[in-house]
Amino acid sequence: MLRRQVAQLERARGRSEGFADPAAAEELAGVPVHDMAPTVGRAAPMSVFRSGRAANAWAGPETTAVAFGHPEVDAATGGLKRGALHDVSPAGAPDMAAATGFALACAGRLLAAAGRDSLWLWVRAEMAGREAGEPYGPGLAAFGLDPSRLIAVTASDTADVLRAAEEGLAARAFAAVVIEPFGDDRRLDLTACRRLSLIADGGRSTGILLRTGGAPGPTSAVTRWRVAAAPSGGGAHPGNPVFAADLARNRLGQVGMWMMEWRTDEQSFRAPRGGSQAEGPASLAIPLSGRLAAASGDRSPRPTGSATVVSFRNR
Amino acid sequence: MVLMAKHRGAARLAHVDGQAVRLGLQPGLGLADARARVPGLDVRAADPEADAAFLDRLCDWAQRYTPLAGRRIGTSSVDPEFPYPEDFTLVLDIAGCAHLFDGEEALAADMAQRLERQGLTVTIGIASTIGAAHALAAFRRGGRLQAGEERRALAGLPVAALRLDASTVDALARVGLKRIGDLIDAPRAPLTARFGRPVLVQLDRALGLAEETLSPRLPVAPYCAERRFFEPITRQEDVRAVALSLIGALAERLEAAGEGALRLRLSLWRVDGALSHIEAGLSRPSREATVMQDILCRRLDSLAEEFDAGYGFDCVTVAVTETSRREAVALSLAGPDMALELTRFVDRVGARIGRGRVRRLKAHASHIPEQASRAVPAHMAGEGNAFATKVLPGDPPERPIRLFAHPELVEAMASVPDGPPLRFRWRRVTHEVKRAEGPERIAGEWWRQEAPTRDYFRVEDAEGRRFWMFREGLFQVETTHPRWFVHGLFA
Repeated sequence: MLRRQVAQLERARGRSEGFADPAAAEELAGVPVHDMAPTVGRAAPMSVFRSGRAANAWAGPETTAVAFGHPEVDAATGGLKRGALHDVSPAGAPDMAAATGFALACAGRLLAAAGRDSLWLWVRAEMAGREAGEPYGPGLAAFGLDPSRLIAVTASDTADVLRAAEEGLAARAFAAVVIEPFGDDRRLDLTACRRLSLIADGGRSTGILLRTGGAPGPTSAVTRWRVAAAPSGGGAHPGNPVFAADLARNRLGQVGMWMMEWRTDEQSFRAPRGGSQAEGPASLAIPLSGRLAAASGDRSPRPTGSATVVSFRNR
Repeated sequence: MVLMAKHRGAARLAHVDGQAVRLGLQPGLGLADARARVPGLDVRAADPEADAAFLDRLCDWAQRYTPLAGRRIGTSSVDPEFPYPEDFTLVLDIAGCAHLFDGEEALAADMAQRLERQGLTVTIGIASTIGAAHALAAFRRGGRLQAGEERRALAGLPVAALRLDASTVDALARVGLKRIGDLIDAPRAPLTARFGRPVLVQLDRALGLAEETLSPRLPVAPYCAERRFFEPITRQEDVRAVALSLIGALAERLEAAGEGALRLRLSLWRVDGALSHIEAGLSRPSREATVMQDILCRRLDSLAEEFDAGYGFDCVTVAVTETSRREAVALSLAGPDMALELTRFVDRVGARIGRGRVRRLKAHASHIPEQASRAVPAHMAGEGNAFATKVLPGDPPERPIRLFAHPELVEAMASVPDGPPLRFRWRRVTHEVKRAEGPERIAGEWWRQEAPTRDYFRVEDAEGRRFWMFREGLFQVETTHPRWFVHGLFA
């Protein structure tokens, strides 16, 4: 049943050629998209994504991707695509804070690109708050995100998380929507994921699906990141956050694995300085030469997981 | 069957049914006496709270006849020592409503019929004053008085019909004043001197010489629209369609009055007497039909699983229970065009999952970490209380992005009692501390309560996970075995 729904959705997507058409999705999935705001419009054309290399590819406000600020990552991925769904999950259970940090950092980049007045939304399941902690204002401020421009929604279950997230993506008010369900829930299946993607597609909002406390499930996201914490550079004191980000799947560019340091003061990623870069796998990131042709338009050109052939930590 | 209540240690009959009355039982009789007189008596305990809740429900139900419906709380006991049986009286002000039901008698007949269908026995008295109507209902098996007939009609009724307490009734009876007619003709001054003011006040109220107001149980909604059905409607789509058209009618009236709705209430009267209310709130006043319809529909959808039409609804009303003229500024953190989108989002999601769940973070001037950030419902959060967002160049964050509502106790080992931990065990995983910074000492608020001092450390384990930990209590000053907690997680 699910398989058939998905196949229908895929076809609908192919037919509408990248047009945001939630009505088609509704009719085919048999699930009412009652949450669509009338203002979203039916057919906002999706701008052609440029797998950019030059910095000016994402200079203007109407460009479709936001640079990470980390030259290697930007060169390989073309930046963080706007108006799409991105999937971030922790590499292991204790990495949930790192995954959160990475997701928030991405939101921070989107906010910085969208301008000073932009708002952001964080929808999370009640359990996620209990297990991984509640958003903490002073900490978010120190991280480089403005907590007073945050709307935080606490939902009791996955169904409500998805509902609120769909509203958030459809509303034009938010530059970034962090969606945090908790645990493995069958309701967060490919159909639900696809609905989120379709609503984000061509809209103004970008969704970041943060899967704390759950194994990565099926996803229709444009990119899928698996994030682990990494030692912060040098010194006896903890420094700026460093993430070992493994881009396990990317529909629009290369995959790879990078060490990314988040500069809280500049609200930008960069390659970590000094020691940690040399010993980390950043230098070992698989140099894929150019873009691979994807056999099917929506999957990464190689099976996920095969990009992580290098053992990540050298002990 | 009788209901029994205990009062001052003695079990006595509180209510008796018709059959028990025929057997000679009266409320107020001792339970032991009653059992001796009638062997095999069915005795149940009285439940005054359930009675009161039921009456409240009935009172709300009666709003299908008039918005002014209240309950009288009191007792009709003849014994001043025993407050049973209670007075189960509903008072409705039907002035101006009766013609909607083809007159007062038709209204009373309709009400009696509907209540009987619910299994209730009622007597309905209609008069120009609350006192007279009550006297008719309680002592005359109902009836209707035209204005001006009160004096003649009440004269023959016992004094107790004036809603006086039992001891006053007793005292009046002792001097031979048994009927209301006796009081009307009696000289007023000695009556007040001997029996207190209530006697004449109640008499004047019943005769319409003094004012008596009814206090409705629910506040009267400023705007209300309703529709009744001869054939009850059962489908949810029909209910929704009716609600939408009612909102359309309300929107026009709000527009005319220049007011905006803040709260809406949809009331559904089921044929079998059950009444359900569905409420929805808006975060800024609106008089646009589409906005109100949207919010109420969302609320209806979220309650779809509990939706039970039973035999159908025969009356649907939509009321605006709260209005405002002021343009709310609660969500002014966005520009004018975004503000509309934002309020729409807050209202829609609020209607779906609860308004208290859509929140904003507010800074609070406290050095206790868990109190420095507060989540307040977005529709109530005003401006101000922004966080200090200045970040010093190159400085790592000093506060975690996620904070546990309750710090989590860990087993930790430290090299020196007041130093940072060397390793700790949190959620069944052992973490080796590689980097640490601290302590940042935060003392409890001594003026509130004695909370131990906390020494906070930022630590990083071998894998690079960063924690915000604290040791509770100063070593050898406040405690000899300080406990360690993980309070938050850094990215």
